[in-house]
Amino acid sequence: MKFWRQNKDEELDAEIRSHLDEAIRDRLARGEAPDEARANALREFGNVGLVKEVTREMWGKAPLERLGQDLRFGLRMLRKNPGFSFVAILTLALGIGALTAIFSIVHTVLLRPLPFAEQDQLVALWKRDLISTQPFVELSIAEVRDWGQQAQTLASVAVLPATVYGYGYVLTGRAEAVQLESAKVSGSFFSLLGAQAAHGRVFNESDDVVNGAKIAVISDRVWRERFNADANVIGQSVTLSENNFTVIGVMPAQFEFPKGADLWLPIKTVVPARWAENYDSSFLTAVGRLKPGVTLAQAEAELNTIVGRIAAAHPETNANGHRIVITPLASHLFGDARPALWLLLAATAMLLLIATANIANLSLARATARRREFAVRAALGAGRGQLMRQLLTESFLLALAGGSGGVALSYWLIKLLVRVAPADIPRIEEVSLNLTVLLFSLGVTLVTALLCGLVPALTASRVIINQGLNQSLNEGGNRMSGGAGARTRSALVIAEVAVTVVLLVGATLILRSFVNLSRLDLGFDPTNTLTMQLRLQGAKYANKPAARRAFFKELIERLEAKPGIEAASAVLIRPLEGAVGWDTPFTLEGQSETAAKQNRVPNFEAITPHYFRTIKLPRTAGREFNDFDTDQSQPVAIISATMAQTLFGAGVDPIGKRLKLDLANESLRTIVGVVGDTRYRALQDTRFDLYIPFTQWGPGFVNHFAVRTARDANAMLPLVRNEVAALDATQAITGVATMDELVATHLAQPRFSALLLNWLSGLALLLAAIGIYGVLAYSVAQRTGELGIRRALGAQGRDIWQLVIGQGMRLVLSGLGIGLVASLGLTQWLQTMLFGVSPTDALTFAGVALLLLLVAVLACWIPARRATQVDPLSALRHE
Amino acid sequence: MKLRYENSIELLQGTLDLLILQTLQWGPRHGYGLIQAIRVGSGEVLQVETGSLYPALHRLERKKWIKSEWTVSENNQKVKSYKLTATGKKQLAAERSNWERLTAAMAGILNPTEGA
Repeated sequence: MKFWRQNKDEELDAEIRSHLDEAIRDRLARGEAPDEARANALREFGNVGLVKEVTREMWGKAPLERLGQDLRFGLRMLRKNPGFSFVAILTLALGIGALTAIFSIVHTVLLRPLPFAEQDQLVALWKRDLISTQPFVELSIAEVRDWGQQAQTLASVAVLPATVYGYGYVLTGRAEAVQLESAKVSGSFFSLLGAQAAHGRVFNESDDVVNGAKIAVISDRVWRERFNADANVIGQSVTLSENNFTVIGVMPAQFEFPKGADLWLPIKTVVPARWAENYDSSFLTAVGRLKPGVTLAQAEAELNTIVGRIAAAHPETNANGHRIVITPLASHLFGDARPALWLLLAATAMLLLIATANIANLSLARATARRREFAVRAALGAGRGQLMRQLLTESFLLALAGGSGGVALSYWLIKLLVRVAPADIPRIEEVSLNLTVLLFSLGVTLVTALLCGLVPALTASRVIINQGLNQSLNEGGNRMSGGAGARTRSALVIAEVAVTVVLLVGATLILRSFVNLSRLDLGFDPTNTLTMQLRLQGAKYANKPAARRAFFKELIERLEAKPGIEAASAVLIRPLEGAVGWDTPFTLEGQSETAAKQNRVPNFEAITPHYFRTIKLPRTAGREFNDFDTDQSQPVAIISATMAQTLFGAGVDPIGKRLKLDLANESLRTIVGVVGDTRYRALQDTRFDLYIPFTQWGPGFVNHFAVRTARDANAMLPLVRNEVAALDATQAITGVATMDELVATHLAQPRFSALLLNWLSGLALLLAAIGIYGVLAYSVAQRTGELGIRRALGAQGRDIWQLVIGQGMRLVLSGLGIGLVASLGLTQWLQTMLFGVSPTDALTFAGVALLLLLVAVLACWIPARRATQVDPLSALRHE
Repeated sequence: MKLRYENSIELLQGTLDLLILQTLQWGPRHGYGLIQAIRVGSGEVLQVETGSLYPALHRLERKKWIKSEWTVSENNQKVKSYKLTATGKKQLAAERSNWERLTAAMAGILNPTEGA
């Protein structure tokens, strides 16, 4: 920079010197004496120093110097207008901070949610049945093996259990015996996922053979709780359900796949040999890894061909209607969270846009106020580019300040959001400000700066240059209130209003969905119900179903005798535990196999007699289970109302009809009762429900215990603990939650989305109102003269009102119209998140429109009042 | 075509610009040469000050309407001479046309015809 100037200085010196030399030469040629010639030439030239000065001014500045000057000037300007600067920086900080916070959640949760290598290629695989419309058909080891061998699109594939509940092993021989949930998986499971053991090793395909050595990989939690985090556990032999297994590895703490698994076992070593070959032994689901470059569509097409081939080769499986279902693993596991988070990101971005529009408007107004300054600078030679650069620098400074404030704010916002977020959003604990998020924040800041600054910069500089010095210097430079300036401001406000409308519509729809969900009839009564996990541990219960049944019978009798407890029961899986459960196909007596394939698969529960009383599920026909239903008496079942109606028809009594469950060691069961429908697993769906007595359930595992209390459920917990301890002090109660709390957990995500969205749209509405107010207030101030004239000519207060409010409402109505139309299109994207309300719900749209109009009128109020208070005389004098 | 009424200072600037561009049309000149040419061409009426000329030259060069080059004069001296660019030619035509419209307008006011 210095050199640049130095060169130019030297060049200018040379130029002037050569001018003087020429002048002197001419004079000498005319006959002047040398001294005279020099003196005259100098005199004629003028003040050399001054000429150099004015010439240098034409050079402008070196770019860096210019930037420095712009920055200094910009800072001074911002300091001179603390009010504007403060509001602008605060608004930007809020907007950028919120966007950064939400993005960091999206980044951690959605963009890299799985702790596996190259998760993009991981897929979940199962089948669906077109004939019975069953959406989830389980797989057999043999079939999945064939897929692995025949599919060109899959690099590898592995089976895993469809649910870990109910396949427990009892660990004995160390401290107390305890039930562990197991995941029986293929040998390729760990290598497919790219997962390594934290200690020891994982098993591989060579370990997964029929009659292979019994080995196990344990989870980090089990290692800490049962083995005291002892590294010597590797190679030790443990007794699981009276079989000896060798522990070969411990998984890291973050590895929780499938969720709830305490152990992983090579499947072929722990199932009967024929299950490994039998295409009909289907009780599994699968994961796969696509080969690089393969698309889902390609894999799906190929696998459907293979599935068809296998169905044809094995008619006993009745698989003709089966089709493959293949989804990316991340969305399969965490599907629910995604739409909500993307929605929140979009909403926050929209809020930032509205804030930006407001600031752009403000800046434009201020640029107008500074027109004298710009006019003078233009007169002194500043080009349009220079003026624009000046204004852009100021907006960059604002944005930078806002951005840094935003990043600081986002740190706290992230902490807050993580605390109130529903717990089932995966890896929510890991959300933090990392490099990617910071870069994103920087990008957002720059874009915001551009948007905020470009509009006023373009408009103001163009108008200034066109107008010329005279007009700009005058107070009555009304050209800025009409013409380009005002048009831009109006456009910005209309845009703001439109975006606000879209946000409001979306937020209202989500809110209504949440309200609908929270008002759902579950089928049972969740109040005053205490539930818990009670897995029996100890040698006396290990592999002794009879002992377990006896324990629960005793416990229930003792509890029900206590005042304050109305009923107690044990159940395989409690309601609303999540998307887990036993789907058990069945065949009606007399139904052919093909017809049976069409039966909708019910949710299966094993229960103790007072279960329905405990959860207050109404009985509509027949009887409950009682103490006479034992493993020696007639096998019985109770089904849900819709199941009865669908299977047997509306007027037909299902009592006495029989069916057979597709489980091991099952014979025909007689239906002895019908109960109401429930939303057993999730709020959004009802299924067929089928209940059998715990005493007639072979494996004899139950996981949960429920107690109906007369009053406050939590208050009864110590009592229950005491009774359990009195019966057997070695038992552990975990996972305590009242039914109401479980419902709340299911509502947590919709509530979270609804809450945040409504906050955002409320803020947006506020900002839009401020925007409308700003534009009108400014317009009124500019039109003081005109208003005075109108008054003088006889306009009433009412006329002025109408004028101003009319101006404002015209803007609002345009924005409203655009916003409503846009919403009609955009809300289609919300379809999956809505419940009980359609994306084009008229009531919602109408309500939002009404709200907006109301707020708009309020925003127009003050400027309108000011307008009516204009004193004609002083206004005219002003003009 | 919108006539741009520049303020009083710039009007003078504009006139000088026109003079320089027009003069350079007949060939490149250095600063001293330009002053002489304009003086002579205007019949000794317009004597441009160096304090106006040199800023104007540098400004016109920034706008890329003229281009400077160090050459050797007839006297074997190094001089910085300026030459009209293609853009400069276009600008010259525009300014000439402006000027003609302006003078025609002025004439209309100063010498009103009947019925005006």
